[in-house]
Amino acid sequence: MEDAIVKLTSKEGETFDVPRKVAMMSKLVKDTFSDDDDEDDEEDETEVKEVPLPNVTAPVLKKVIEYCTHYQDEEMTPIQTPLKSGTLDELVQAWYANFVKVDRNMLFDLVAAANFMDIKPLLDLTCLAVSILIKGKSAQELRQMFNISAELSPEEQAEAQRENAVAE
Amino acid sequence: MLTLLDLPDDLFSESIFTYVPVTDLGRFGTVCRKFHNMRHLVDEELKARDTALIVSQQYPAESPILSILDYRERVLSFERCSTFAWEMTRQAIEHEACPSHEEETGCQCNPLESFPKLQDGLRGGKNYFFFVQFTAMNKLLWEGFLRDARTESDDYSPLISLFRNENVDIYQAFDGEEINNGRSIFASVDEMFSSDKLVP
Repeated sequence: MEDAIVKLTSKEGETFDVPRKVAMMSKLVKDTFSDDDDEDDEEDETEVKEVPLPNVTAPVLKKVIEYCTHYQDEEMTPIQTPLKSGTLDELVQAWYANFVKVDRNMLFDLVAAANFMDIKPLLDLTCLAVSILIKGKSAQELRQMFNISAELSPEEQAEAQRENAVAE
Repeated sequence: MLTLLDLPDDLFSESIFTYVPVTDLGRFGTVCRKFHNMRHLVDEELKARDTALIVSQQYPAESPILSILDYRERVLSFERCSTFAWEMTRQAIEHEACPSHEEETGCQCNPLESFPKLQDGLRGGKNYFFFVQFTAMNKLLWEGFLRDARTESDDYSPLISLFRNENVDIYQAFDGEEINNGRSIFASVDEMFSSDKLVP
């Protein structure tokens, strides 16, 4: 069973052979296996199974597999809240901090992939990286950074600012 | 390619928000309509943090921190002081590791230099105050809020005053020995700060 291979297929149809243990970090994959096992108890457990991932592109899936593979050798330390630092390097091990130093689009794709594939530690890490992007930025800076248009009415702006007065 | 706005709401409420400081969470609602409409999720996150705070700090039901502040103020104040304390700790550790720390010439690094200086009673434009518990031999002597400083005189510190107050033999009290001047430290300290319990 340890050497069993799972084929993960990306949105584009590209297939990645992944050791079962690595693939099983995804609860989606794990659930797929248990569903199959329920349906066919006689099935040969060494048979290579294929799991389609229609929401995950090949470059993102490659990164996800990289994460899950590394996790087998060095488990990511759980992220403690409240955070004691605002820099990734002081919150997770160096490899994981470097892993999420990617462009913003890739980061959001990784968040979505971790969510879809249900990989909790990857979701924690990528959401932490997003939160660090947000930290300390003004509303204007956030709009510029994430290309968001200001669409609030003056009344809504005033309401939100009034509610937030205690924090500023 | 996804953008920040494309991420589902539950990802914000269940994951991203849990790592965002209170100040930034509050600002979120001013960014755009999607986030403006998610303010109830921000509020839920703040309430969850408050619940966790009360449990982790073991505040008794009658603790003043539960009556003087609302949940937003409580988590904000805790976060602000916590950040302050973490930074002090980090710099203290750095200071101890400084190679010249034990030389007679003294240490050349300058710990705590980066802390915002008091100006008009504020540090970096923000109001700090501290929920303080004085204990000795596991006995709670006094608890309450201390101002960081008075607005009219930035050099005033309640903590410094406490140590200078000749009516309070605070060192003896902290050693757990009897206070021989006949006044309980609780009464002395409470009297001293009764007018200083802070409304943030």
